[in-house]
Amino acid sequence: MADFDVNDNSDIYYQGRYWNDFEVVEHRINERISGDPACPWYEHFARVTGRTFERALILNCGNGWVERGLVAAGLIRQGVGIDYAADLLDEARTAAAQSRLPLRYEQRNINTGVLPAGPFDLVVNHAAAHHIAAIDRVFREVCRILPEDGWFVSFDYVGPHRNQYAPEAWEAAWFVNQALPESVRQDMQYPHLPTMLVTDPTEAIHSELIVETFRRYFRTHEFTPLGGAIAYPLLTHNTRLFELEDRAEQQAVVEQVLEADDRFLREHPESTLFAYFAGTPDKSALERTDQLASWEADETARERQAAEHGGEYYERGALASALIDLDRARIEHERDRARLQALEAEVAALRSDPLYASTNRLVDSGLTRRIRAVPAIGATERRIRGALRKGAG
Amino acid sequence: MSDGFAVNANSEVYYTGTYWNDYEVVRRRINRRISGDPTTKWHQHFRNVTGRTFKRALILNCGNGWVERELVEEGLIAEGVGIDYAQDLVDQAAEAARAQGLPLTYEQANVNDASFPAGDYDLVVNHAAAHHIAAIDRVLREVCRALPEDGWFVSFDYVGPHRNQYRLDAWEEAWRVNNELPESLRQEMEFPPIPVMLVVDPTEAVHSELIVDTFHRYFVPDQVTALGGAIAYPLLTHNARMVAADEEARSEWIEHVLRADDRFLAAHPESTLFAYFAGRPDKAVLREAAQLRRWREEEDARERRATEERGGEYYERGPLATALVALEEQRAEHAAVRARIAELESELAAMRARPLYARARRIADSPWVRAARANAVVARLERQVRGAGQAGR
Repeated sequence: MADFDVNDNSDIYYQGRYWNDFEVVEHRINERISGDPACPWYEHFARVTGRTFERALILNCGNGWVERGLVAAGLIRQGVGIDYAADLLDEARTAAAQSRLPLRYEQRNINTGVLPAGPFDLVVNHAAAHHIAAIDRVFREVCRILPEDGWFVSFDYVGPHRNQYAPEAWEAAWFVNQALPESVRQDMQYPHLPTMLVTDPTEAIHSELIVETFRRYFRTHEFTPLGGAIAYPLLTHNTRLFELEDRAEQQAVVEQVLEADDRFLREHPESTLFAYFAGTPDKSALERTDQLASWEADETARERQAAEHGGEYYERGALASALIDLDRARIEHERDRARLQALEAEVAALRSDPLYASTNRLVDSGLTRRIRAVPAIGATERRIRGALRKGAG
Repeated sequence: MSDGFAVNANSEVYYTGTYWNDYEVVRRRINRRISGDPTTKWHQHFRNVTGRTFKRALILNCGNGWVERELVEEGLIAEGVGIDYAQDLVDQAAEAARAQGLPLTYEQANVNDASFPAGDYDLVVNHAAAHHIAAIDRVLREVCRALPEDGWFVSFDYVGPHRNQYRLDAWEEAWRVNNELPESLRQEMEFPPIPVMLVVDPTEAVHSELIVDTFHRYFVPDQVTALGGAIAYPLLTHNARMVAADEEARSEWIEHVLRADDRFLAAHPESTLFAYFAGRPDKAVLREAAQLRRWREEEDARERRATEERGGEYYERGPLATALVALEEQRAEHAAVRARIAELESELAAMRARPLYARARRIADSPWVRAARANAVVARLERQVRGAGQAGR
């Protein structure tokens, strides 16, 4: 199954500071989901289902902090986590053992669609599905392994693939940023596609397909768009804002950004970058064999085409193209600047070569010029030079 | 007053290139939007609506006068007075009117002064004029004042983003549609570069997005019709490949572009680049002194800020404009570096080729000289000689 993109370097996860590292943002997200700023998605989900799940499967669990929290909160009794990164799984195992939690782990590439042996009554997707290439295959399998009354719960990035944000959203965020005090403005960098493909080819690989694929196989009981089109790019990794000492001002700025985010989400409901959603399997979908075959064919064709285009699935837009051109121009410029410096050094070295100075003194001296001015000598010199050239040729 | 507003002293930039409405199918579509009939032009429609022949019309920024000549010929106006800043165009217009014996007179004037040639007017015509006006509030207010209660103001103009800084979502969609065209018909899409526009014609689309709002301040609208263009205008204007293609090869693709334009306009009515609108003066507004003062102050502050602090730029640059300006700067710097590299390379070649030096260097680098230098005695001697040479200088 090497034909699906995986990421062999787990160092890039769990770094930087995200928008929801601001408490105001976390509270707003909670409030959107549960109506209560202090009630996070899993507590809300526990209330909605009124259940403690016996055995949960956690997709792309990473270092395992999510399921440790779910056990602690009493949502699940036992859990099995899967991930591709063996080092993260080791961390997760150690942490579970230390706290004596009933959590087990298995290393696998989720894109194969082969999940650990059941039974499971809950499958958890916490920021996992946006890394899945074979999204249809995996969600179909999740539907298959869950019992009729099992649940699939998600809290995930569902915005544009590879963070290639919608033009109207990026432009709106751009102008909201311009209106912020300069000292806390974000250094807005549109996600650079070639870099993303190198850093983590799984990042947001088919994020905009997640919700529609979920609806193929599940009955949706919960769905809350969490916004982010404006606030996420302005707050995430905004070092100057995170380091602002005046906490009151920091909060005021974050709230200003969140208000703009709310407005934008109201006007463009489809623009949400994040969503919370949960549902129960629609087993009848698994019986529509023609439909299943056609979805499978779509997915295979899409992946094959991307593989032929260096991992790019979609046409590049105007802004992405301009930024890629800019990047390339910068690299070429740097390279030529280095070449210029080398040339300057070479010229300087030649000028300070004693042999160069002394031979030129001799050639340029008055005596040489006078000797050459004698017609017979001049003619002889030209003859000799001619002979030398012929000899060299 | 005139020196406070951007004017363009070079009229050669007008009447060049091929515009979208040079294609008949585009003209028919524009006509149909305005009048419901593909063959009825805006001024014929306006005549049908008002049922009038106007006695004396003022034509703003008339250019070479072709519009009012047509209006006289069509019987919409009996007489006309045209004003323009470009003396050479005014001369051309006057000459053409004289040659054809038309009752049209002309004056050179800066429309931003808002002082019109004396006399009564029952119609003011803005044909692609207002988008060149900096003092848009001042001028439309004066038009309102100059007209009688039953006079009319009729406009056919570009009302899209200032200085053609198109919305990113529109530009991205145009980009996408362009990629759907066969390569032989594709536009070289170049986002209008702000720094170049400020040099070529600082009046171009200076406040185009304020025109319709300002019209509504001073006139009771009878009709305001969006003509679209967000997709079709940038793809069809100055598209050299499209112009060169034969009618049969291009017509279905022009239709394709126009359909995409229709779709975008339907989804984003506020995205229109062009509009036809007509109305009668709302004299009551002219008595609202406080409101008028506020609008005047707003305009003065806007103009002052743009001219004094921002080199003629009124608004913040968007993300694409920012990237493209950075790309241009990068390319200019890079060109300078490359020129310097070429210079140094030829200088270095010339230095190396100096007659005696080249020969002396070959000898000095030859294996037997190097072998001799490796000898301790020879090396000591060389150091002594060099030391003596340096001391002797």
